[in-house]
Amino acid sequence: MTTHQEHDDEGAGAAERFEALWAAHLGPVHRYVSRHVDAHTAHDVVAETFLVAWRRIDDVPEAPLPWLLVIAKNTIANTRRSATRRRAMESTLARVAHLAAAEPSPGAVVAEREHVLAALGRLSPRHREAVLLVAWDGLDPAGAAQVLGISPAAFAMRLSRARRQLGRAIDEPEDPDEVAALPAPSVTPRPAAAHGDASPRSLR
Amino acid sequence: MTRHDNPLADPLDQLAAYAPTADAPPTMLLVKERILAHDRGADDGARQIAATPGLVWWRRPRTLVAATGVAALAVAGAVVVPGLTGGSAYASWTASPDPLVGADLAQADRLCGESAGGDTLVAERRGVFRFLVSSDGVEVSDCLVDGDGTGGGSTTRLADLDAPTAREALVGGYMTTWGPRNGDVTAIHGPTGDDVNGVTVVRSNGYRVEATVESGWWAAWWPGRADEDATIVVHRTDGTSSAPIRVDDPAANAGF
Repeated sequence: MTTHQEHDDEGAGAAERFEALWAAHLGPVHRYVSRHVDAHTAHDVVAETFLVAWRRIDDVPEAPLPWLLVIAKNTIANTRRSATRRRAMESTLARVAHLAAAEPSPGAVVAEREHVLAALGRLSPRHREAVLLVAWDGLDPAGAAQVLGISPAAFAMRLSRARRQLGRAIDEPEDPDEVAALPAPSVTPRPAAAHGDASPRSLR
Repeated sequence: MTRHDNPLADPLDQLAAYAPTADAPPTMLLVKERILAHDRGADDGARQIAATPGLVWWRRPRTLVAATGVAALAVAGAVVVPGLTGGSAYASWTASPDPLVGADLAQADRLCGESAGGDTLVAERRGVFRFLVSSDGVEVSDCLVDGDGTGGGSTTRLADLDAPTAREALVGGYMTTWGPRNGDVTAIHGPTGDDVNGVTVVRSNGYRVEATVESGWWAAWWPGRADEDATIVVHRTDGTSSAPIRVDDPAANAGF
């Protein structure tokens, strides 16, 4: 039998753990969600993700980020299925372009921002997400595999191919005519039933 | 600089160099207090809450464009609008379209190629940019061609679209795409009824973009991102106009 005091202690401990989870992972979760949905929806999805985390605070694993991103991913899927209003749509690549830092991190010797983003746009949606989970979300292959719901071996293979394709695309010289001839589509189509969807076909 | 110049640069590192900051907006801080105030043991399970599309108690407020504000900020005719364009790439963009005909139209058709297959429904010019909406009977495609001939756009399945009444114009496609040359572009289009002869898009900042209406369709585009709070005003052959209709209002949407 637990006493009121024990309940209070347990509640305080849960709140502390949630505070720590929030402080460490709100930003990364918000960044991941913002890559997949519009700003209004991102606000709700992040809130719902952390509400689930609060309710399941005793289940939070040692490495919480992949676990949180799985919740966020499922919440996004539920939100899309439940959508009853058309929202302005934005291609995944457009969201990525808006989120990307204006300047590379200090000391990095890299290609121009627009060139790297254009190279990213040449990847298939699956390959693009694989590289972003690692390069932007900072997940290790096991964590990224967990988020995608695939085996670590399958993710390793996907990441290897994606990295190779990204490298080739970055190596290619900038040529406006090639941009016009990009293969289509360049982003993941959304469920037509929920959104009556338009799908971006290529880079402008 | 490319990897040719720096063979040690891993492509993932190059991408990581442009990783966005992981700073959530300050409005999220209020959310934390509300979550902590929530009873963890309540019966309203997280699954049920997660399935709810938008919990109003923590949604940040959205503003609706007021009609008076729209009028005050209206952009006249085909005046070039500096500052609205989001970059020098769109310096020639105009809020009102010009017709696209003849050799210009033929060239735009050719440049859009497969992406603009079938019949051309709408063709317009804004500055150096040519914009086409076409359909092959299965999909509706839009295609924007810039002054250098770079094109791109989006597609909408016709099967997803409803038919408007005679006095309606519906939103069939509304999407922002991005390209390395020109940045963000937002295109909007949809079917119109027989009595519709004009559509004005009123962006959330009050700027008005006049659409081209022809062949039972309306279409417009602008440099920059889509506005969630944009509205459309439908003009009819009897001289009347609709009240502003939010583009995300189901009543304005062709896909439901």
